[in-house]
Amino acid sequence: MNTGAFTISIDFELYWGVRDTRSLDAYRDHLDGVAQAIPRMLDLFEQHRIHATWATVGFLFCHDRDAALSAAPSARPGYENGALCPYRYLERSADLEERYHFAPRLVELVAATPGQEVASHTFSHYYCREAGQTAATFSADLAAATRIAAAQGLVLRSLVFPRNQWNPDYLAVLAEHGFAAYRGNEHGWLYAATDHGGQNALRRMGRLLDSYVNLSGHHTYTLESCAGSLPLNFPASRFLRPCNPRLTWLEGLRLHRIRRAMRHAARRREVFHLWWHPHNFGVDTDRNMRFLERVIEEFEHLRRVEGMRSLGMAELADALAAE
Amino acid sequence: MNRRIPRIVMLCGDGTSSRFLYNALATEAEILAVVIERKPSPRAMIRHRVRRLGWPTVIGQLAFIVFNRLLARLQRRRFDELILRYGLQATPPPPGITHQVDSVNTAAVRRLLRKLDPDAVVVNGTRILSRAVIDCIQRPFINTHAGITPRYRGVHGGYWALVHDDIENCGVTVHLVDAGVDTGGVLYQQRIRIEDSDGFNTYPLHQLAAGIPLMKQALRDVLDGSLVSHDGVAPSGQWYHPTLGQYLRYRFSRSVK
Repeated sequence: MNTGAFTISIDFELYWGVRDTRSLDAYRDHLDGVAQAIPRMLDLFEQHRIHATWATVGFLFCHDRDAALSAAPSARPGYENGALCPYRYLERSADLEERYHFAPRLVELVAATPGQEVASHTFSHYYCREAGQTAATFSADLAAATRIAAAQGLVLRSLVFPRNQWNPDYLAVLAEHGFAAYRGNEHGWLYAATDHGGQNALRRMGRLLDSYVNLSGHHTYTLESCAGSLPLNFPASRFLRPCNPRLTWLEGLRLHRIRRAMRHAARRREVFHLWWHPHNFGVDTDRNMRFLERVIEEFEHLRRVEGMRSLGMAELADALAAE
Repeated sequence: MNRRIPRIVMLCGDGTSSRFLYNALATEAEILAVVIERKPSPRAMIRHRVRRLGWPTVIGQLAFIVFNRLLARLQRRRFDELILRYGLQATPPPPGITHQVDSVNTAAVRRLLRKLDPDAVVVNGTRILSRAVIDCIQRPFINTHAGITPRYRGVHGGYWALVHDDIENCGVTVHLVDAGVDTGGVLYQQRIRIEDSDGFNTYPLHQLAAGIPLMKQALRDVLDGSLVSHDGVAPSGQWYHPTLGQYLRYRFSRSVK
């Protein structure tokens, strides 16, 4: 590719993403803010012609619990850790609060905004590295995800593995379901894909520190290095960590870390892939949006000066195919 | 009747101004190839400068380069504003016509020029062209120089004109290329107008924006057979990067930013 690329992917999952680790009451504030944060992000993206990939959990396309259960696949993952199973949760929760579990209007809004790619975060926030699930149940999950998107007239071309539990054995399944791209993890021990047990405190501390100080490099890469058989891996470069009220004095460093990596990518004609969750913007939305605006200001500058482009994950795959 | 457009090859440095110039010319010329010269290694650059200028000056220049990173950040808003004002586009040339080389003074570049036989060769931001390259085809090589020549040859001609309170000669030159440093015959010159919000990093944008129409006119002259060069503004002088000490001295004594 003869320009650098700024790629954004957003893991849109609502409560499904944290259900097994946090109570709804403890996380309600974050989820309540999503309905405001997403339209603000979309406005910002439209204003600056930013293309983003929204990896959306299939449940979010549904209006309610009954619709979710009827769209669910018959072959379901048999996680050894029963708490991971979203279907058991769905079946046992007759009075689910819909705004924390379903978001068809927001999905429509994303799809209707220019340059936005609706992609998959699997149907059920599926964990590919947890014991008890199989490639067959993963395939059934993806079939359900593509079906429910197709019902909205959407074709899913990109996927983000929930909890970044990408599994090389499952890539063939992605290809069978027509996915052209997925987001792999940053390189290095800090970011290695593991099951839940593998995410120890040392890794978490390292990642936190790495978002302020350059411990692990910029994680940018040439598009050509992603060439191969489908699906193509466009690894993450950096997680856009939400503003931490206890670390506000370090916000400058965090922004500097991201800007440096963006400049590095722009000047070397490489890809910088930033990702986050909408619920990360659910509290302190104003401050998080200001931070995102500053990141996008940097991109605007690099677009003017270096010709950097904003490309979603499927667009990266198309750009690679065109070479 | 459709007017023929010039067929050109561009020999460029690997910088933003080359992309701005490419996009500006792409609408009015058939660009057959863009040869982009990779930046020389910093070590080679330093060695070359030490030989010419001596260690004390080079250390001062390096200090200014570091300082200018901060300065560029302070002047970035104005920089972006000017890019929008002048409609400059940074989209790189298509890969199909782009050739990355370590030096423009290589046999491969000469072979490419002979093969394409353009009407003219546009030069921007490369090292000094060798006589072998200039003579490999009998076509004009035309350069946009950020300064009025021969009075402000070298680099940062706009800045040095302002330092010398020579506003009349703060401008840009489009000239023929010979084997010297910006010593070729002058085709067109244009004065630029600096505003209070401008600084060291934005003068070159004004110069490039003013130089683009001059380059287009020169290329039209090539087709019309009316390319005529003349002497520029004397006396001749070659200028280099300022040292940090020079910059700070002129910043406070002469208010040149």
